[in-house]
Amino acid sequence: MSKETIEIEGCTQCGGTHTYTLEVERAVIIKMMTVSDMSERCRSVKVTRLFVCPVKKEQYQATFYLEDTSSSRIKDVSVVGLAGDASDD
Amino acid sequence: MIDDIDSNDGVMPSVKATEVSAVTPTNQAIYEAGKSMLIESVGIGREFCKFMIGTSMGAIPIYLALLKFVLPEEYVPTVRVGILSLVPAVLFLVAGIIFLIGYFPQQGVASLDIPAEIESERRTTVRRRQRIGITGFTVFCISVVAALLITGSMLRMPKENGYSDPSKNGTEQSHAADRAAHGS
Repeated sequence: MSKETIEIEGCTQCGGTHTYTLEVERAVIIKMMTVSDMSERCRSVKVTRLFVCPVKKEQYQATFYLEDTSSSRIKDVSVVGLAGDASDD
Repeated sequence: MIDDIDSNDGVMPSVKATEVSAVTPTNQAIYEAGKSMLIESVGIGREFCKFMIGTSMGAIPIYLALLKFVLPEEYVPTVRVGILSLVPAVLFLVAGIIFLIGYFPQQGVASLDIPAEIESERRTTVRRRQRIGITGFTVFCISVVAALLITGSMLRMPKENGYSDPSKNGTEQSHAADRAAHGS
């Protein structure tokens, strides 16, 4: 699992910008690289997730795109929390 | 102006959101459905086992009563036929015991501070109950088929299996008496 950060501008609840941490689960496929794999272009995966505004404590949704390849397919994306958030106040 | 209260501590975001909106009614409904599925998933397996315990155990006297209804009163089964006719009842009992095992409380340890542990326990419980439910239901279906087959075959029980028809015995005896009277 890899962690990525997402920046959401224009929160529908407070209008501010928030940064969240995402946990991306990928299926790693080990295979022999061929010429076509060398020139393979990344695929964009559209993901919609629910986020909680840290100011208003209300939910909103955001759509973003992640990239994967045939040897590293995205299986699941989950929202961990605010980026750099050490406490749950 | 609202200050952004989350400090990034120098974290550079790797992804940027393209569309930000309020939760749509469809997504909200799907979210609520997902929540109830998650919460009820543990209880549903247990409820199914509870229901099937009653069904399996209740099928035993029903099958025995059906057998008694189908068979004539003076019928005396052979050992082989007797054992064979008890097979569905035993299978119903086995299915009931399997469901009972599924309904039985189980022990697990999970810390409420670690959601991953709770999720792991939940998945273990759901998988266990699913396996038990499928096994028990398979045994139940086999016993239903066996009960139907045995009951159906009992309806066409041939006379050579120890069953004697009293009315026919009376007729045969009178014919024998007639032959004896004509002979003497």
